[in-house]
Formats: sequence, C-alpha cells, structure tokens
Amino acid sequence: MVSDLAAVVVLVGAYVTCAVLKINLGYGRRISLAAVFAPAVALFANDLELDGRSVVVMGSLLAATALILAKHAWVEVAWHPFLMAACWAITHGVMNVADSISSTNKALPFVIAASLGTLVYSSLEAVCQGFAEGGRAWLQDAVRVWLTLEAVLVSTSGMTILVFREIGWPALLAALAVLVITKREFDNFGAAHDAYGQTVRALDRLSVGATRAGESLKRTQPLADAP
Amino acid sequence: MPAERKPTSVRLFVAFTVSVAIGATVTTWMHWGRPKLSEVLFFWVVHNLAENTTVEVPLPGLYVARTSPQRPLKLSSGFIVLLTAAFTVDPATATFIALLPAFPIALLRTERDAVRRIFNGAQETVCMAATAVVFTTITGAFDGIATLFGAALIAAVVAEVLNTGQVATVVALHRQVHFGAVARQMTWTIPHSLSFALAALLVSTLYKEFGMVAGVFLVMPLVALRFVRQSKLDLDAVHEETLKTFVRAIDRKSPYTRHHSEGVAEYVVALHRELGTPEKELTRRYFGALLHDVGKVTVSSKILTKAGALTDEEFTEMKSHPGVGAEVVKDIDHLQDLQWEILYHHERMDGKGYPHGLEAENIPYAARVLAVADTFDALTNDRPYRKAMTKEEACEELNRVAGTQLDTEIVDAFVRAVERGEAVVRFPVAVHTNDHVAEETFASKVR
Repeated sequence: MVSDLAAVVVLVGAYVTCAVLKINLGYGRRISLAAVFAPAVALFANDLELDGRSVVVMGSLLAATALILAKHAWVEVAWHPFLMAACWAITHGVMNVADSISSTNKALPFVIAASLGTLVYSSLEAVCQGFAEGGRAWLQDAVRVWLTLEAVLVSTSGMTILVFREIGWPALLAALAVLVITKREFDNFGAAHDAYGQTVRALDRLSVGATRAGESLKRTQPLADAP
Repeated sequence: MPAERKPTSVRLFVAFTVSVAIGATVTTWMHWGRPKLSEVLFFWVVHNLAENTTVEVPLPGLYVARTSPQRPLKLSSGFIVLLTAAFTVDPATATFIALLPAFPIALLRTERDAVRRIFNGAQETVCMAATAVVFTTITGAFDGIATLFGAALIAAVVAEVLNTGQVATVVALHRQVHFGAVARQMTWTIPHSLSFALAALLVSTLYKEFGMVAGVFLVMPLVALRFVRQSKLDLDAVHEETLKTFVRAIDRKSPYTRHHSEGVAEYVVALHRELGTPEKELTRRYFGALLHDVGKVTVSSKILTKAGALTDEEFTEMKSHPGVGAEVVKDIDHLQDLQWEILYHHERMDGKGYPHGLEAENIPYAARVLAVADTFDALTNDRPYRKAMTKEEACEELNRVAGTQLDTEIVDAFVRAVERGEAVVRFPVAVHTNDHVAEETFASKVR
C-alpha cells in the first residue's frame, strides 16, 4: 500500500502536468486531463497522517501556478481549486460510506471514488469551460466527443488508482502512456474538425466573392421571408 | 473474387513463418506446461472485441484508395491485448492466445486470401511467444518495479522488431522491392508500441490483482478511442470530398476542363514518386495539385470557354487565378504551405510566366512539378482551340518546351514515367506505402 508524502507529491505533479495539458475536442473546445489524477490526489491525501485538505489546497495552488505560467486564462486558474475541492468532497464521502459498511476490502470503494471523482471534476470543468467560452453551445457542440473522453478518463482513473496502490508511482508512467495515446487521438480528431471548418469557411468566402456584393443575400432573402 | 496467387518466395516465407509459429507453440508448451484454458478464453474474447474495433485508414490521403484497387490499411487494437496477455500469463498460454484465433478462423473461412490470414496468425504467434519469453525471463531473473518496466519495454521492442521484420519481408518479397525501404516506412509504429507496452503493463497488474474485471478497464478506453479515430477518419473523408466537389464545380465551368484538377493531382503524385519525393509529402502535393485552379472560380466562364485568342483584358482576368487560389488556401491553416505551388504554377523557366515572372530555380520546386503535370493534362485533353494530343505527341511537346517553359529534369522524369506506363491512365500509381501494401498483401497488424 502506498501512502506516504512522496507518493502524494508525485500524484500532485501528475495532476499539475495534466491541468496544463489540454485536449482539443473540435470546434475550438478544449478540456484538461487533470480529472484523471485529481481523485488520486484527494484519496491519497486522505490516507496521510498530515491534514489531507491542506494537500488538496497545495495541489490546487500548484495547478493554478502552472496554469498562470502556461499563460492560461485567469478564469480557468480560478476554477481548478474549486473543482479540486468538489472532487475531494466526493471521494471523501464515498470512502466514509465505505468505511461505515466494511473496513476490510477497500479496492472497490477506491475505484468507485476515483471514477466518481473524475466524472464530477471533468463535468464541472466542462461546465466552467462552457460558461467561459460560449455558454450552452460549448456542450451542444462537443457533447458526443466529450462523453467519449469521459469513458477514457474514468476508466484510466479507476485503473490508475488500483495499480498505484499496488506498485506505487511507476503506475503513473503507465497511466501517462494511456493519456498520451488519448491526447494524440483526440487532438487528431480536433485538428481534423477544425481544418474542415476552416476549409468550409474559406470556400464559402470564395464563392460569395465570386458573385456581386449582396447578390446571395438578395436571392436568399425572399426564401427566408416566404410563408 | 478469386484469390490472387502469391509468388513462390512469398509462399515459402509464409510456410517458414508457420513452421516457426508451430515450433514456438510446442516449445513453450513443453517448457511452461499446458496453457490455462480460462485465461486463454478471457484474452481470446477481449482480443476479438478489440479486433472488431478495426478502423480502415486510407493512408496517405484518400487518393491512395482511388488510385489503387488495393484495400486500405486496417488499424486494430488487438496488439495491446496480446501485449497485456504476454505480460500477464505464462509464455505457453500467451502463445496459444495468439495462435488460437488465427488458424481455425483462417481455415474455416472459405473467402479469399486465407494465406494472408494464416500469415497474420503465424507472425503474431511468433511475436507473442518471443515477447512473453523475454518478459518472463527478465522478470524471473530480477526483482523490482524498474525491472518490470524495463522488461515491458524490451519485450515491446522485441514484438515490434519481429512484427516489422516479418511483415516487411513478406511485403518486400511480394512487391519485389528492397526490404529496407519497406521497413523504414514502418518505423512510425515504434512509439505506439512503447506506449502500448506501458498501458498493457497497467492492465496486466490490474489483472493479476483483480482478475477478469480488468477487462472492463481495458475495453472501455479501446472502444472510446476507436470511436474517436473513426470519427476523425470520417471527417477526413468528408473534407476531401468537399474539396473535390468544389473543385469539380469549378472545372465544370468549362466543358473542356472536367476532371482536370483531379487528373493533374494524380499525375503530380506519380511524378513526385518518380522524382523520389518522400511518401509522407505526397498528400500535401496531392492537395496542392487538386486545388491549383481553385482561383478560377472568379474567372468568367466566357473566358474559360473562349475558342479564340484572349483580349488583354480577358488575359489579365485569367492571370488572376493563381493569386486568388493562393489567397484561398492561405486562410486555411493546414493548407497554407500549398499557397506557393498554387501561386507559381504558371511561372516559366525563362521568366516569361505569370504572376511574378520568376525564373528557373526561383520558382518553387513543387510549382515546377505541378506545371509539368498541368501542361500534360491540358495537352492530352480537348481544348476549344485544338483537339487532344496522344500521350506520345504530348511528351514530344513537353520535351520541346523543356528548358524554356518547363524544368528539363522534371520533364525527363515525367516522360520516363509515361514510357513505363505509370502516368498515362487515371489509376496509374503503384502504391509504395508500406502500410497499404502490407494490408493488400498480408498484414493487418500495423498499429
């Protein structure tokens, strides 16, 4: 069982790194990978003898600092501590319930807590990102891809927490490998999506430019006004 | 469709691979004992699930699918499952997991290309036997987490080397090309394999602790990533089709230039291959050629279809099309680099071209290649003021203007390709992309 300060520091490092790494979901919508490691930080912070909440706060502040250094928007810097607190509350709640039922096998509660923590963190991040970038349109545009990403993040989070308890920090390397593949696939999709959008807009401008100014408007206006 | 008969050298190599696979199975069985049925079944099911999440990848660019009757490359996630098995169970079981699905299915299926399936199964069996033996030996001799990771990475390299080696050999034998040329083009899979090895180690650790529930954690990301990959490929296809539809609409402004842009694009690919341009650049050149006349959208149809000589005013309008085309692609991030070949494809070696009157080497190389293909396609099709030339007449004409209008070396290369029959029909190109050839020939295991 891994439950020392060094392990938490490693997890916080992974969390901070993933807060900066963003995946492109297409339509210019981006979301971080921090949700994978946030529950792990919270869960292992709870296991420590020192105050778990202070570790969570430390992680959030480090993530915020990294985001500032990476020149992310200030509003984004602000919401990570809030998301981390929500994640900590969820995982803490699940583990308390599990303790009250049985104190022997913690593997299942760990997986449930990690998966729920990731789900909550990622969902709230999407909502925050949506408010910051374009309200409801954010989710409407990217919901299908975002849900797919959720499947990967939740399973990776559950898998990582279990393996981390068994073999320690090297599990992070393996988890990062999964995340690198995930990021690559999603970024490829996002890039293809953005490229297609650009092409359509450029061709649209070209075809409008090929007609007299206002001609397309003149032709489409009667159709729009038709009963 | 009847199966194509493979050359003797290919059949011999397949027979050799099958023999090695059978030998590996027997040896591991004798050394590590009988394979464990429950584990074989579990990984067989997960492997089949992963194999059924195959996506078809027409690389590089969709034109390959169109310029060749060959099938596109298939990407599957089966490799990561087999790696997980190699890190989890004993070598005898791991070898049997790779062997089990391959031979019965290959032999039961009556459809074409059973040889390809048998080869795939055999080469996977050889890979897995070696991978599992390497992993088991290293982790048996040394303790510690570092050993575990080191063993996983070394085993993945072994799998990669054997997979690439076997597939490249059979492709090289089948296409009668140099082994090194094929193998070099497959090196892009190495980083994937190393990443997969770490992911497989994660699942393997989980499996050892929690049993078959680990399958859920393995399948979920695979299915999700498959969905994303397929969506990306669908988008690419729609993208290319959108560009082609637009270009066709422009070509149809004149009855004489129907399919001109697509024809030029195919000649450009053939010509670049003749000139030794790296395969990875061909997609860019293909799109550059496809879009080279996109600026004609602003040129009046009257000018494009005029039978007689153009007036100065008409010629000025005509000369605007490379600039307009370049402006269009400049606004599209991923096509920006094509602007120069589009802008300068009407420049001449003697500096008498347009729009800027550049001379010789000052004209970008891709634009000089495009100019040759553009001229050939124009010569071999009817125009309002003359009939189409034969390919021989067109080549003579290219040679005549080489040095003044067109680049001599590029014309020579094009004429060579035409004489060999590689650039005279609309589907002329022998595809040398290893992935594609590999799929066409045998392998479907390129990640």
